Amino acid sequence: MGPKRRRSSPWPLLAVSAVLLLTPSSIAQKTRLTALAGFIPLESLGSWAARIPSSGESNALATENAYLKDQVDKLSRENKRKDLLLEQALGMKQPVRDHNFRMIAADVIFPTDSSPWRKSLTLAMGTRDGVEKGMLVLYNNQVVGRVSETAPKTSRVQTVTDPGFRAAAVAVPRTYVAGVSFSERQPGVYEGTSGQNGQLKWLGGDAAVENGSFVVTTEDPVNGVPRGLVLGRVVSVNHGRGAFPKVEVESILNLRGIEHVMLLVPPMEVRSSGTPSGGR
Amino acid sequence: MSKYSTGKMVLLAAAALAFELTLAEAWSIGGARAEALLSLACFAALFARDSGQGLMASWIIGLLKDFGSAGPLGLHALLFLGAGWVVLQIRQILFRESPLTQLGVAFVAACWVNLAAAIVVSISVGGIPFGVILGKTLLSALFTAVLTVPLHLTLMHVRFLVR
Repeated sequence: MGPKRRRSSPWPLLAVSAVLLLTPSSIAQKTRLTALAGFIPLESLGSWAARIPSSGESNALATENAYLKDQVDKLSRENKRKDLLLEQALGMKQPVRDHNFRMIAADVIFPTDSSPWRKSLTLAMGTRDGVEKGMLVLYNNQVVGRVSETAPKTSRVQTVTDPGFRAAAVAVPRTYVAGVSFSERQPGVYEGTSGQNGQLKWLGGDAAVENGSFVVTTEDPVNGVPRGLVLGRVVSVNHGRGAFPKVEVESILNLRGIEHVMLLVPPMEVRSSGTPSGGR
Repeated sequence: MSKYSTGKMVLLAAAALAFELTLAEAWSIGGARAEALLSLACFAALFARDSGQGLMASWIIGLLKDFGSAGPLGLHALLFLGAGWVVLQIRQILFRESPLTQLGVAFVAACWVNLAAAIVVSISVGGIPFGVILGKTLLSALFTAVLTVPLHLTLMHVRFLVR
């Protein structure tokens, strides 16, 4: 007769899972983001490994040469990074110029979420650097998402493709992104779907929407969203039988490839009262 | 028969989480991707010394997945625990060394986890179109099943990885 097999009950672990599920999001997310901060060193692991000198006196010159080459590479990369940040800042200047928004540059640790149904990025910047929940995250003048959770050193961004992301938006023809009269256009609600494309909902049946139109934000002072930031481009419009057309919007950004983003910090008076200082 | 150490399994799961958060997304098709952590949880349930080890390993692997997600903490732990429990119930009648068995188990487990997670996300944060749920669930399950065969084969034969 073989050894008697032990049968364990799943109930204790089930109960712990239930407790974790009921834990307030502010506590649970902070714990998780703090744990993910452990991955920050991995960002520079490649360059660190390249700096390890080879053994032996005869290799000294080669090592020094490799080190200097590495320094040049490092400075070139830093220069390129600064160029990118400058380019982003210039791209954002137009939409945010009126409200004295401030910008913070942040590096992306993980460009994705482990769940296939949620879409988020993890940033190597947290409350210690001034990041707050609800801040808008941009790349040039395109919306990447919104800060959903923060920890001291890291924060999580809910991207525009997440099913929980919503923003007031209008569809405008490609040529009028900067100078369009928003009051003449019908606003709708942009929503992520967890798929490749988002949706523009609740547009009036007579709203002028066409394939290729840009979908841009409308002004939302309460949430610190300036108007004119690009959410995506219309890829299909289905008028169907309902009162509202079904508008599919594809993200222009390749969210997988983003390494740096800009966080939009609304001026203090907007954050405290929800009213912009110089709004039109 | 392959046995494993729970500690090593957790280390492998941490590496798999890093893979899911970086390379797996880059190789995804239409947002569907292979789920390395789920594949690992299937291995944990199939080759556990006893049901206690299988349940604990599946649960911890699910919890690790939760660490990389914006969803509620404990959701994947719960779903992986469910998948692990079912595998532990039926593994007596399975030929677990067979790649076909591993492929089938991973496919069904991935369908269950993805579908349940999609329903929870739809209810808690917002609707996901039915077509997206169906397409992504099936495609993800297929990719996960395909990844499972070489992964399990490696874990079964390169013993220092898990023992």
